[in-house]
Amino acid sequence: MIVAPKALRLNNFENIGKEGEVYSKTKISVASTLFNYNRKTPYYTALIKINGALIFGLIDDKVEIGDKVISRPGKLGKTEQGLHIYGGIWELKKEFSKPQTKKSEIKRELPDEKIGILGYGVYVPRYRLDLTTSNRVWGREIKGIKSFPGKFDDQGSYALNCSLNALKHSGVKGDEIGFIEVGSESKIYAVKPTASIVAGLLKTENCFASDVEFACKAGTQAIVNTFNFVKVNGGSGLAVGADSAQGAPNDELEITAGDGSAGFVIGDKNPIALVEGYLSYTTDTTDFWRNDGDKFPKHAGRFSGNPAYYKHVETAAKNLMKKLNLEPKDFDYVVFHQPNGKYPRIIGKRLGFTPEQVEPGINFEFIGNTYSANSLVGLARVLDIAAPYQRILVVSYGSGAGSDAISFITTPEIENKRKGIERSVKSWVGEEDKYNLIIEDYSVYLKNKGII
Amino acid sequence: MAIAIIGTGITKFGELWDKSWEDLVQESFSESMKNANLETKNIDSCYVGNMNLSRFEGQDHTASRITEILGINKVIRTEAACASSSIAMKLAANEIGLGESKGENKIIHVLGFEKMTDRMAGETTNILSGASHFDTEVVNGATFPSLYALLATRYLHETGAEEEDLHAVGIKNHKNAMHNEKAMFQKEITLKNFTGNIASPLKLLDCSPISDGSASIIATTEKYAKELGVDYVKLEDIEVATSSISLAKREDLLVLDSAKRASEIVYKRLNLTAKDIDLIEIHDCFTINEILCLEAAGFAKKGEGYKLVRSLKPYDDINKRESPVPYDFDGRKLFVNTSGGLKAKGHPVGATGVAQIIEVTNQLLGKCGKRNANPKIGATLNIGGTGGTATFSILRR
Repeated sequence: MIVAPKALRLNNFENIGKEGEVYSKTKISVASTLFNYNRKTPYYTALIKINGALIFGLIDDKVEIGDKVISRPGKLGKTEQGLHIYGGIWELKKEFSKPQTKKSEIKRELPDEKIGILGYGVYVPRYRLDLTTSNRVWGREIKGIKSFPGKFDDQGSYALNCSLNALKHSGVKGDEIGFIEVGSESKIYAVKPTASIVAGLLKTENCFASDVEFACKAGTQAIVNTFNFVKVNGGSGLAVGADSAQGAPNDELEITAGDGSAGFVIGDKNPIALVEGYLSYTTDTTDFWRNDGDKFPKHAGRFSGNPAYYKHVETAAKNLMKKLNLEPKDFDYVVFHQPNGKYPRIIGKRLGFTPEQVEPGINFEFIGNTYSANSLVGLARVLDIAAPYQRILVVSYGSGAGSDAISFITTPEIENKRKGIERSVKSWVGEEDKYNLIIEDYSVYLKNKGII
Repeated sequence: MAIAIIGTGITKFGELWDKSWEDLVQESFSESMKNANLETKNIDSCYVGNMNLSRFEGQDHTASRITEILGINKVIRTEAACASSSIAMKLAANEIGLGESKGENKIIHVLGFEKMTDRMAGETTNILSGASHFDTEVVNGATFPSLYALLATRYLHETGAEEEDLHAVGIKNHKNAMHNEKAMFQKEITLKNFTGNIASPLKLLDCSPISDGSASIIATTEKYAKELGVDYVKLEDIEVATSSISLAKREDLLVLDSAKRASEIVYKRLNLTAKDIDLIEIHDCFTINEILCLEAAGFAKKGEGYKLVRSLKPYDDINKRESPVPYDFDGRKLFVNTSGGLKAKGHPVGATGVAQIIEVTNQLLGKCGKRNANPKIGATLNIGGTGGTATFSILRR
């Protein structure tokens, strides 16, 4: 129905970030088939008043006339040609918990090279699957929750939202971003980068933009690549990890596969944390894979433990500590990839880290395994509480298999910029501000994930 | 300058799966010609109002196709969403008037039709949404019911109206359609039937149906109508006004300013007011719009149209009354949508404008059988989209 040239210019970020008041609203139960809106029913649209003028918008909340709303990037739909359309989605303006520094007496020495994180941002959808609701379907006996997409979410909207949040925190302007890399294993297009949609949102054109894939470690890979770009070219870049993690129904992965994203602006202008060093460890180990065109990944079950996750994480962590001449006690926090609640805690213990170092970076119990975003959301969670001059170790893991280890040291700027953060990572993941979560059953999960 | 309506023809409205759009067009045209006692060769030109033959039936170049079907060799197609055929009527009146000023007596066929049920419902909703602002409304998930629902929500919020006042419009129009054999629905409904959310607060029965249908009018000069010696009705005046297609850009959300302007112009030219109107066919595509149209056409002040509806109280008794059921308009009877309106008669969008004029014509001629309301002056108000286009007309015997 939509002619191609029109469909190619449907993304519209004009109203993103604007605030307004609901003037009129309706809950739509019968939609047109256009852009797959029939899959979103029931949904709300509204007329929103901004500075005296009305605009029409989609609402991702049940609202009343007079409610204050704010617009964020969201997935509007998909055209008949298979093009994903993004635009502004309105939701209730809320006050969220803000991050708070955990004081520390220990002061680590800053590295000589002054390139690092200028700002970070997280996005996790509000929806949580109560896993017990799937027990009746599959005869399981499991408990817990994990994040899953709202009606206007997908990997693209995750990348857009966390990028915007990261940019806001960094203080860098969109058109100053010269490099964008989006790490993901659930890209919306097989060919066409999510990174270019992010570039469109940021209004940056003189920019290198691409997607990167290495199972769950593509996010840290993006951070390293961005760091190196900045080191050679100066300026600022953006590294993103964003996934709507895939797990087939009744597969073990279904219990853990979550949704979320984190973005990091890397540069040399007043970083909040400097990159002290990094390395990677890679072998041809096939523990988890997805063939081109397959909807869900396959995995090697118990093989994922010792020969895969533990071996690579342990080696990368040890190699980096050796390279930097450091020991576990020299770190204030350590963030491991967390495909479940067990692995990061066991590897932490094996390497000689204490629960005080490991626990602050664990999000698994709140959102599950967000694949490429996994260790990045963990890092963001630690940066939310870290004091200046603290050392943070991040070790990711990507099946296939490899681990990136990166050491950061925080600067005094971290406290200054923290004041600008409107919402803590703990709030995003739902440890705080639980009121904002929408706990749903298995059927809604299947629908929003596009499985039914 | 008044023109004369000398023949009308209208098909049954409804889900006419056994008829093609060509069948419908042929049927309404033949009936109107029979009424006017004319032959195709007498017709000078044809104005055809149709919203979207190209997407419903894959056919563009509608006018040429109509020539092939009807044998009229000057056909002009007009499009203004649900107001497509009232625009055709306006252009026909212009041509007749222009001809008359040169001493000519043009005989014109005004046709309105739509074949909507050849598509699945979701697709039809897509096609209809083309009448709203594509880039801001459609892309953001708007459907036509949802746009009118936004008007309804705000209307209920600002005025003292309640949801059941909207439903009462539907109950009355269904009751009126009981004596209209061309209506899609001849079925009484009650408040209890208003279930099933379409777009809150609008329920399924607050919405007009997707229908097929065709309507034809044969019009000429009054002078020539007299010469022919046929029964005719005068289309005293007809005017079109347009406004922004987006709801958000409307000056006052709850004022159909296009309808207000069109009606004010006609009233002024004829030196009439709403108080002079006995009967009106009004654009009740959704129940809220009958109320907004009544306000725009001067039958109530802004925000007070629902009070006319409340003259029908108690709503549970509407079906016990004689059809057609009038409103109490300052102590006198005001008949609105004696045909059943779009709500019960059906709403084949391109046909609606002409169908409204046909109902008023037949009412003035006393040809409506049991639903005859014996009006002296009748009017029509046809709306395109959410008020982007409006056509207002006044007819008299």
